[in-house]
Amino acid sequence: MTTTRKVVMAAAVLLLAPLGRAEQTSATSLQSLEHRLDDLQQQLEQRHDWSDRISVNGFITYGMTRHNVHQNDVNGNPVTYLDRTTDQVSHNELSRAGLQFNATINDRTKAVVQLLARGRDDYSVKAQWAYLDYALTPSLHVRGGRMVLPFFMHSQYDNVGYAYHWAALPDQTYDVVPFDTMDGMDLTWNFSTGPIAQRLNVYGAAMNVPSYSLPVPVTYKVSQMGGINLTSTWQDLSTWLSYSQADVSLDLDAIDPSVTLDKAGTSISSVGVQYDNGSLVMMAERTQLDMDGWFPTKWGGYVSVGYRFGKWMPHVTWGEANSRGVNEAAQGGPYAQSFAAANMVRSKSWTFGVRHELAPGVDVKAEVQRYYDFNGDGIRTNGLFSNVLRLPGGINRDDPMVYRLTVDAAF
Amino acid sequence: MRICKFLMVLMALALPWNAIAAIVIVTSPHSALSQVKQSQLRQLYLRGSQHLGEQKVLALDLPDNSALRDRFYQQAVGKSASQVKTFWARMIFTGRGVPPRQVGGVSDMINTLRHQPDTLGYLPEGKVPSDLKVLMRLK
Repeated sequence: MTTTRKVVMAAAVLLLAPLGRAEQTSATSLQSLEHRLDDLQQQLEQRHDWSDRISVNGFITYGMTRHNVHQNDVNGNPVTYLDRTTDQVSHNELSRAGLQFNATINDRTKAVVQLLARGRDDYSVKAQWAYLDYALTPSLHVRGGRMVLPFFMHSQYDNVGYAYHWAALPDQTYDVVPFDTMDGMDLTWNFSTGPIAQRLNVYGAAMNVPSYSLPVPVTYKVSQMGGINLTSTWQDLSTWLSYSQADVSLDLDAIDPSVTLDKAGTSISSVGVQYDNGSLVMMAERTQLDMDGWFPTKWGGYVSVGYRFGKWMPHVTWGEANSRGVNEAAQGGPYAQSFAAANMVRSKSWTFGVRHELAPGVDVKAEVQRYYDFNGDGIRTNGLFSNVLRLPGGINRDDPMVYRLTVDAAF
Repeated sequence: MRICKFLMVLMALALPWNAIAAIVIVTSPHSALSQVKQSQLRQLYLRGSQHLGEQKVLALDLPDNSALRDRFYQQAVGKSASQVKTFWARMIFTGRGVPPRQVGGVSDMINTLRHQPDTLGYLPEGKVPSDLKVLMRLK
């Protein structure tokens, strides 16, 4: 019998006694009181169980962004950055909200559902994560369902603005692959080698990826996808290695059978490092996307350094993206050459930003990113602005910039 | 007299430092744990582990705005409150783990430790009731 229960029963007896009914009620009333207490206790335990078994977390970002290229493309439309942002302030490009429900089903099994609504998708809700997790052992977990692809070092929390110091992840790395979720399964093993904590993850998946980079909307069919990645953490230092491969098909027979991709071998790899000692933050990553056929080989990378002065953290990032394969594509005919050109990336950039921690779990970030070096090595691009099919004459200013301002919260 | 005043000023200066009590790691009197290592604290508070070996252990945390919590993370795992918050944002939203359960404050921490044998928490050394088991004193 718990102390609370004893106290309640004693109080009941004390209340009943002065009424002179102690004798006749002591047996029956105490028994019924005990039953009621049993019921109440059970209800309390159930409520306690429920709050212990289900937890809800969320994140939200409100952001504003625009660029400074005041030009129109061949169709008379404003030049875009990443196919969406123009020289007018956008309040929805960076804004998004996510809610995550974690349910513990039993000691070994849990279910996680994360719903994401992005301003750029008109806040239509989609399941970013929806999986069952089963612990084979405390350190070995298997998951199945919808998950975010673990291509690059920060890919899996791309939408959680509070989880990184930039207003947006480095675009030359994180906006080159146009898809983020997979339907499949993964296996994660947490182990230690001496003082180094390791997390090894392997996954298998398949998916269909819509793309709008060609003159007509197309869907890439991605099959036989699998990958492996390793995160190693030693004190303030963490490293990341990942390799994924897949077969990619794209039916373009209606245009020219020679440009149809039939299970083109594709690989995506990344190597990264992060250091954060509480004051100094440093990060660097190099990524690569290789695909057989006319699709160009793209690679990207960045180096970022920041320093926390109390709640303020100024930071600077240098980033680069480049492509190869323009000559190979030219041998495939005019369509192959044109499609390859539409998918080429090349640019360098400097990003200067500052993050201010408003309260635990809430920050505000401002940054400006200046781009340069869009052409060279036989490649002609407009960086991540409207592609050369839409803007053949190129950008007419030598300091194209993108501005971003965000407020992020995680709760 | 002058020496006396000087000593009093020195003591007054020293007082705030003395007033900052050491942090101790405590567990329920019924817990099977008898000691804990710093690497195990990292496992519980930074990796979201709910086990130490075969033993089930539920780590308890103080609210975000607690100064004691800031000191605990700095001393136990060498991270600032801001680093820890960012770290958990990454862990939670990739399904890698959930942070330790936050209780309402020091007295809530004491109550939970008393009544749930699997729990482990931290308290200022001076506020540890005699019925709780002290596992470690942070330096």
